[in-house]
Amino acid sequence: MLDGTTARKYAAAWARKVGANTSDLKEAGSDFFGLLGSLGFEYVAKEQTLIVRGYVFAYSASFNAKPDLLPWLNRIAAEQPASVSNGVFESRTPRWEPEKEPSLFLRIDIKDGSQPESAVVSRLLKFRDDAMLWDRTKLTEALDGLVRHRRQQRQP
Amino acid sequence: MAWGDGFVSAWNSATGAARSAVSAVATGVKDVADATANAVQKLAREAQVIAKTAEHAVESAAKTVASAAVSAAEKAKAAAQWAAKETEKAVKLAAQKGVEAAKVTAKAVATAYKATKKAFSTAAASAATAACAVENWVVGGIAMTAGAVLSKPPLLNLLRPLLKLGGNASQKPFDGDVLGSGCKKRGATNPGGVMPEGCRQPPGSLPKISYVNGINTVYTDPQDPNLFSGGICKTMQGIANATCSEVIGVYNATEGMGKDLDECIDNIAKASHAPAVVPLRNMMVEAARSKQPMTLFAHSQGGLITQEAVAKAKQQLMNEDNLTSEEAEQALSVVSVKSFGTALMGWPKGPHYERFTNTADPVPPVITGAQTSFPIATWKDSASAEAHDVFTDPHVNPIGSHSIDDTYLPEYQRVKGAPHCACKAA
Repeated sequence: MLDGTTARKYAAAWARKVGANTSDLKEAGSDFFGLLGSLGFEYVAKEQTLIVRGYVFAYSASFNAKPDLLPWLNRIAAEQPASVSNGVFESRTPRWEPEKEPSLFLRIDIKDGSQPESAVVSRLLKFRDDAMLWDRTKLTEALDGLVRHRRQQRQP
Repeated sequence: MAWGDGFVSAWNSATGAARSAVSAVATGVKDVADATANAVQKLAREAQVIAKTAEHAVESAAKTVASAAVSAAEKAKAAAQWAAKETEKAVKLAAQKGVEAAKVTAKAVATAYKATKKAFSTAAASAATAACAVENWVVGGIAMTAGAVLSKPPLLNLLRPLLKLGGNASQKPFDGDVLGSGCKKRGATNPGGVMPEGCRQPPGSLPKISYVNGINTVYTDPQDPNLFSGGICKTMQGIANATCSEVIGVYNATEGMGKDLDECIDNIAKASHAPAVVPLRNMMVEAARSKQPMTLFAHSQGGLITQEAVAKAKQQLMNEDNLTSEEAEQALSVVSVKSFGTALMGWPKGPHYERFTNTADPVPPVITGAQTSFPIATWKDSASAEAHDVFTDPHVNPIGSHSIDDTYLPEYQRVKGAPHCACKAA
């Protein structure tokens, strides 16, 4: 279980690590959300979960509209969990930028409030690097596979 | 000698080149020192002390090594050119060998940085650190080359505007804006770009160039209503004049690379959602789909923004147009990127690349250091430049060595010559 106070401590530890400012977080009831450096944070009190998102393809409705994209990427994520920090892909417009077009994210959920801050920060550093790698190279490789798959599907 | 060893040696040479260049300046160019003093007067009380210190440093150093200044500059240029060639080799090999080569490259670079760090530590005590630590890395390097006469705080103040260690949130509302005629936001009512001064040709009649700026670049200065007196607008006008082109700007309001290792690495990662990436990505996709040539100038951190935009344009063409990566790269070959004072590596395959690097500019090695934090992301999809102009134009104030207006555009004009201009004078 992760209460709001502990979730804030985790977010603050990350902010200290990367020179971000926790005053950038916004409140919504017991929830909070916002960008801290390269990662997005959203605490959902009802689920006692801190959701952390790294951008993989930002701000494109047309890119995220392809219906076979997320199933394809999440199949790879299930097969290679270490390459995505045991996370999943999702397409959404996050609460901290409601006016923007949807983005493709890599997402992990933190639900265990017993972890030391240092362990959480280490996990987030690995997650940040994984998201960066997907952003620049692994998404390209995955799309190569998806394009070939689509072409095979079209063949009679 | 293995290429990895060559890269280490090259890196050390490049570092030495930067040191030599700064030393050469510090020993021989008194007038530039005076200009530096003028610049730092804006930095209030501490800066005035710095100016005197800087002047003293130049005079002291001049007595000892004035005669070596010219040869030091020549050596710097030769070493940097060799280092650039070795870097290109590394990029090619990494591309051929894929992930494994990239890992080997990362190890070689890490070794180089350890060596660099050790060298810096000897002369500049605790001022140096590795890779991405911009503040200490640059300040340490320059402090050492100036014979440690300049202390770290004064140099830090000289570099503060360049690295934007304090941040400037006032320009954030304009982040990602596309700028056209009059340097105003481009749109349906303002579709044109900035034309060469005195040009009577209508918008749309000259070749088009897009430009994305780097760190420490303002869009508007509240105290100066003339947009073209500085910042991105002045550079857009300069590019229009130098190339006889219509220039579209993409404003990048990033605030710098950060003051320590963790912050700097995270700022590199933030390119994934930098607002300026979106219009650049869209321009490239549009050019690829319409098969119309597109030319983009990128300066400083704008180079990292451009790299991200190319990678995203490629992925967008793959997903939406059902192209393989090779087909997307072919489609993106209509894009030509000319980069100034920025990354040497990590340019995704597809566009044609031409680079301009001033060996006295502290920013390219800092960006290279930052990219080593993401070795696979940098080298897995990394194209060679078709041309790389390496030159040496040192200034006591490193901001001058990095300036696109004062250093890179004049060099571009020197290399390219006067443009064939269809523009009729008013």
